[in-house]
Amino acid sequence: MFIAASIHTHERDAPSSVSVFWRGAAAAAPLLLGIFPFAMIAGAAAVEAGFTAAGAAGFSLIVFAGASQLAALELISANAPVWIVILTVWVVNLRFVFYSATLAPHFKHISSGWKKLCSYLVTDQAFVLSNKYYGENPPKRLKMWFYLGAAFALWFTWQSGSIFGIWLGPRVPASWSLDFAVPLSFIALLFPALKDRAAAGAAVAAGLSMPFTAMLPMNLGLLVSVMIGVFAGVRLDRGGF
Amino acid sequence: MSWDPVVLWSAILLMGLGTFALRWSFIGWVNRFEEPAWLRRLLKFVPVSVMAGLVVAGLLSSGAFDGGKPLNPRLLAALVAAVVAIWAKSLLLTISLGMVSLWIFQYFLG
Repeated sequence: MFIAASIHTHERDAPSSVSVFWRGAAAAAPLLLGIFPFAMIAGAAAVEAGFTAAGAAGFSLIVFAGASQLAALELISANAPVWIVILTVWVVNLRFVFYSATLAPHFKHISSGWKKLCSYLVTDQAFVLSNKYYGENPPKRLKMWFYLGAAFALWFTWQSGSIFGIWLGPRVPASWSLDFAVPLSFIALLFPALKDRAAAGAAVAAGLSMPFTAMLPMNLGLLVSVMIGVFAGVRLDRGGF
Repeated sequence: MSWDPVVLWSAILLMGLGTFALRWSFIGWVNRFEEPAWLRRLLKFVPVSVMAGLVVAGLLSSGAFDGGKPLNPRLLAALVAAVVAIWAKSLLLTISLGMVSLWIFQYFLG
């Protein structure tokens, strides 16, 4: 029993920052295979929309948010005014506020520089994976490392996928209809997220309103449809406001 | 795109800085504010609304609703993709099976 107790103590001291970092990366690994083609689509679509290679790569690096990147490209291809494109990106990424709020308590103790790095790396997947890990109540000092492992794996996949797509995109013949991969990506992201009636209602409301809001000037259509969707979702969510 | 490089890069920087501000909002000013419950409820529906809007926008601009053919290959492929997305919940499978079914439908339906 004395030996068992000392082995148990050793196990509790064992995880190092580095091993937890790799554990985070390993947790992200199953997702990377799906994200790489999505990144390629974002890269290729940027070039298709008229970005230079550097611009497209810069876009993925500086914004680092796939859904908003594709939304922006959709609007740019439709000749939307630049400020509508910028605003749309911010609206699409509003959910990051929620992630920031939920992650913040776990990063309370780290320095400002690390906080900024962790902030830059916030994505849906890094958030979900880390949240799951924090549910296990790991030691405070390890929390950031798991997150960084997962978040870096995702970041690296996104950047390399984008670059590959930027390079490959223009080389793919138009007859392959790869532009259809963009709406396919959104379908792939949308349906698994419809977890309840309110979410489905929001999606239906937003989606059905699109052909109508598309008639609004300045490509405000998407933003208005999002508002319609949010309104519908909140109304359906446990009976309303 | 008719944007001048200065406009493009300024736009990229603004999009990036605004997005960073959203990500940094609570992490940077930890626990000074709790996000109010009503805001959380609103934000909850932004992603699905955006995705749904973009699905329709994407299908519209890629010709899935073009009247010409009674059975439009892109619309059919989108339906296949929706089923795969619901069933497999995999980004990779949805995109690849969606593209394959598009090619198959295009081959048979022109």
